[in-house]
Amino acid sequence: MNGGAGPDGGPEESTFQKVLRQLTADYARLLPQRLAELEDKLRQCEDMPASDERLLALQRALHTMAGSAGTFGLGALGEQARAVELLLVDLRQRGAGSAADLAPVAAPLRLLLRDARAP
Amino acid sequence: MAGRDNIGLLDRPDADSTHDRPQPFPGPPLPGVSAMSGRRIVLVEDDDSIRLIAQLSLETLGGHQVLALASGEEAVARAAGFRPDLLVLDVSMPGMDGPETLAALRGQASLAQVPAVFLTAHTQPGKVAEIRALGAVDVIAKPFDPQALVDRVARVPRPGGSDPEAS
Repeated sequence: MNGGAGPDGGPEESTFQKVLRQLTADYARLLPQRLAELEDKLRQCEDMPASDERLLALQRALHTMAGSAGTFGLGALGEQARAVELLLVDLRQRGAGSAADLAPVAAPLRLLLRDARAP
Repeated sequence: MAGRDNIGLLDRPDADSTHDRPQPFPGPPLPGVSAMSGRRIVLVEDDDSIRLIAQLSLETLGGHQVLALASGEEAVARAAGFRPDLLVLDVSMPGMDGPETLAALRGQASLAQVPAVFLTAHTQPGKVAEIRALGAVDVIAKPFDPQALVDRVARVPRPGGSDPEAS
């Protein structure tokens, strides 16, 4: 901390804390957009489950969320994203061919989306 | 549509491009951070939010100078000009990934001996060992705590053998 008193009489917020707070707020504000992108990628996979390109795009989006959410105070979301990512990695290794193949990934991903959007 | 005043750090028009401003975050390093301890770090991370927070942490908490880049391709083009003494690379990136980027940087004479640290959301022990075997001196798991990132970087030996923790 830099010392001194802040406006509310508490410890003065450091530059680092201010920017960290702003980044965290930005992340939370942009989260609905990230979730919408995840959902869109899931739909694209469901439209064409055999497309490894689409599966990889979804996996990358999950990987990014798994690696970032916890840093911004959303640890549970990050863990959910990681769990779904690992399911998807496994699915890609086995090779998806149908919507039924994708279901074990789609179900927990929809749960993630529901939880993350819950007020 | 958000007004201009509502634009945040992650909304910057150049959010997908290079961030190499000398002092992107205002204010000096925190007390106890010696400018003498500062390193010159090339940070390569495609995720805007993680790149910004890593840059903020390394500059403000660690007192380092950071060239923050959004892709391996940018790193290959620009890292040598920054004369870094440490490379911090994300593993999974579109285009050139972290290992490919490190291999390309190692091919540049001035960067051949610069230590590298990988950031990764792959936390399985086998995968971490695989990543370390690529020539990284450390592998830092994502998500990370900002202070923990700075602490891990502080433990990386400097080229030439001086130990930053010993001073």
